[in-house]
Amino acid sequence: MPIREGLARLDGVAFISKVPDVKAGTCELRLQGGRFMDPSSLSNHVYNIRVGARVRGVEATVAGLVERSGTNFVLKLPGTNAVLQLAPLSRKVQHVAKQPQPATAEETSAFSTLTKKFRKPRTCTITGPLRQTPDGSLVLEVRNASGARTSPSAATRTVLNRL
Amino acid sequence: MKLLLTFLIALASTLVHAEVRSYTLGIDVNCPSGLGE
Repeated sequence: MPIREGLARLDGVAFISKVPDVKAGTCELRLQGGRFMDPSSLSNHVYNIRVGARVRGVEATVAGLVERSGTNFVLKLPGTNAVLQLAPLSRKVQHVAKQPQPATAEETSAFSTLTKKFRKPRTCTITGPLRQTPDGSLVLEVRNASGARTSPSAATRTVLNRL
Repeated sequence: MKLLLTFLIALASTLVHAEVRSYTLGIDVNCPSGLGE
């Protein structure tokens, strides 16, 4: 069974890329309603498919509210209890020749660009590796940050068009 | 007053509606067909 079929068994899957990016070793997945799922659950699901595949990393594109929390920055997901701690990009999920793709200068500085001129909480769409620390807290590394956001209905339309 | 407050909270939660647009899974497989090509 290819991994695509196994991923389709996840509850509430809205979209799985028809053709995976073999070069980067990645596969795109979207859940209905923009549901949040922690990386370990995704990893466990792929492991349990038992096709000899494992998740080496998860990148997420998340829209939420960026806030300062003490000396740190967090992304809050209204409607859920999830609070993601924001951090600079350390290593990309995308691979090239079985090694993490080198980050561009823009990707490397995305976190500092986001936080340098931060004054008040604002909505933002952030893309980057999502990881779980040993104490269970979730960290979203900032590879790309965008202040512009589209309406949820627009995102849903995109998903439906691609199905 | 309470009704107005409820409305404002509902409006605010709509405006800051969060969502995970997509997940990109980095997957290591033993054979290329495992990715579903």
